[in-house]
Amino acid sequence: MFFWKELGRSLGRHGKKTAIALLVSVALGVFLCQFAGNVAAQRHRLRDLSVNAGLRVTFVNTSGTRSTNILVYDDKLQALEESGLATPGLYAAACLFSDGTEDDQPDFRNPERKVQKVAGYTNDTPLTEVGADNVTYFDGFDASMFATDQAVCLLPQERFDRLGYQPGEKVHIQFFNGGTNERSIFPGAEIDVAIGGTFRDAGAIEPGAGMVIPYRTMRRGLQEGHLSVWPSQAYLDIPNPEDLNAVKALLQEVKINPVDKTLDYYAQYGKTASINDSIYIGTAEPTRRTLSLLQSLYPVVFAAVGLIALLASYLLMQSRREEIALQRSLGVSKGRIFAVFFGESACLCLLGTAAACLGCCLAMGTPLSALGLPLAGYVLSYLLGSGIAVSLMLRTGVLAVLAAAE
Amino acid sequence: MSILTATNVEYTYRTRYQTVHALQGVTCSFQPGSAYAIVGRSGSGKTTLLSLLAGLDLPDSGEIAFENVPTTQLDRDKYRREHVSVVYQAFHLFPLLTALENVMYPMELTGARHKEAKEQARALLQQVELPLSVEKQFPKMMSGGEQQRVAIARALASNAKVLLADEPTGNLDSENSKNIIDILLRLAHDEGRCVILITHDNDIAAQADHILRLKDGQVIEST
Repeated sequence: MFFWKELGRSLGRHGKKTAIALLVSVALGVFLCQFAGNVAAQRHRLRDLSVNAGLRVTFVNTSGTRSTNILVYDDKLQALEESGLATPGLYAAACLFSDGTEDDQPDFRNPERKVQKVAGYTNDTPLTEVGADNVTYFDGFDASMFATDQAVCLLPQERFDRLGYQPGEKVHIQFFNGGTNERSIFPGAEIDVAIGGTFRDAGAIEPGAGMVIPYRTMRRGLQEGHLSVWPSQAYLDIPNPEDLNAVKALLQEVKINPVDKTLDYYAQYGKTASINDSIYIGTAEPTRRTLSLLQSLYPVVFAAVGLIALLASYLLMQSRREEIALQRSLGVSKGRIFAVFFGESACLCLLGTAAACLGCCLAMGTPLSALGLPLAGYVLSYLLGSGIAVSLMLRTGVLAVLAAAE
Repeated sequence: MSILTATNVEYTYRTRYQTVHALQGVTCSFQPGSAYAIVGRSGSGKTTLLSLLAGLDLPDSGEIAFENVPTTQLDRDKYRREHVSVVYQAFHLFPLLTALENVMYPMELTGARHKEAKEQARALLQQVELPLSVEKQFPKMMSGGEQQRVAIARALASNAKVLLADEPTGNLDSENSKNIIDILLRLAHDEGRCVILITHDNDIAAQADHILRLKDGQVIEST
């Protein structure tokens, strides 16, 4: 009860001092709100840039002019996938398979091998590009199968009808990987794939395929036979632009070179990638630098706030030294005096901060949510400064102050 | 039985230029119901002794005891709140509190209810012969004599058994001085309090029951 009464008196009867302290608090509050508002604006801008960045790593030839019909090392793709920094976009690859039907044809490299072409995609874009009704999924199957390594496939509508397959029926196939040398057709794994749907046209990437399967299923099938997949097209998306530098570092680590158009066109394929980051870097980097600078200034701002609060509180309390000494001589404990003066500082700080926040939100449109943490830091710094000032003042000898007053 | 005793009290303090041995082996005792005058020249250690008796500081060696309990073992804040009151030469009233609020302050400090504190404060102001019109005045609006009476009323508010007065008439004219001294002596003799006053004035000292003369931090005469 005494505390509240003292607090009320302290605030109410020291009109000028209260007004000065309140003014200081409001001024510091406005300064901090503006600062925090600026940081929030930069952060918002950066977030907007990030959301719309659409960053993508595209495998290209060494001159950077082509991103299709090239050969990409699948192990590089796997390294990027496993880092979690990039997510697969479209991979497109083709290899050979045999299902023992009449559609298997002798291969030109090794006529003893009767095979067909199978396309592997990470999504059904190459099929739907032809037309929205190019693909038909059977019950229990949909486009999400392409993101998995399930043993499923889509067959050309004509083959499906001609061979009299049923939806979901399993077809036994064996993978082959066609090399470039004569007779070099190597066998991969044998698996049963369920027919999940049909298509009319395999698309422009791998035309004439007798089957389309998920890319990862193809990867699994060939890897079990110690063979490699050779995508002819691949890109990965970087969902978080913050990871851009990490992705670049990873590309270097797995020895993927950035595009250098001075290199020979026929240089090694599959070791070259481009990232569409020029616009993002041009706009986001300056913002990021500004944001980083502003954020690094927070400790300085808080220290300055604390110091100003300390000085202001100390100077204002200096004029009340006699009052404090008198209270001590009347038996008021240091803790109680500290509580009253600190409480006064806290009230003025909170009042000033509230006024400053309200003013900034109304005048400058700073969102209140952006001020949360900085304001908490500000209030803490202010109270710390005031607390130190009160503590310093309480160290003054009672007798010395009262004697000086006489 | 003594209410307050000082035994072999020594106290030294440092200024910027020198070390001052303010008290050197001071021994004295104070009884309730008596008025004591501590006299001596400036720098003799009077005010230092008073501040130690008031519990504002502790002696370097020796002992100050209230009712046989050394002040080192007391909660000195509580001691100052409940057992000892000080009246200063410069009055030292809270400038932003009215006369009545100044007197109520020690009572509020000990948790007294507002209404009771107010009634008691009024009675105390009457006891020191202040008119009712003064109670709502702030210290700046009062004369020196009135301020000192309010200070005495405030000192009485905690019902302390020991009343210390440091040159209570130093800033007052002779008529007001006489009135204040009369009040203090009455508090000792009629109410059984122990009143210890520091003074330069030999006439005032002569009115006290006992005189303690200090010189260079030592008691040179005790009557």
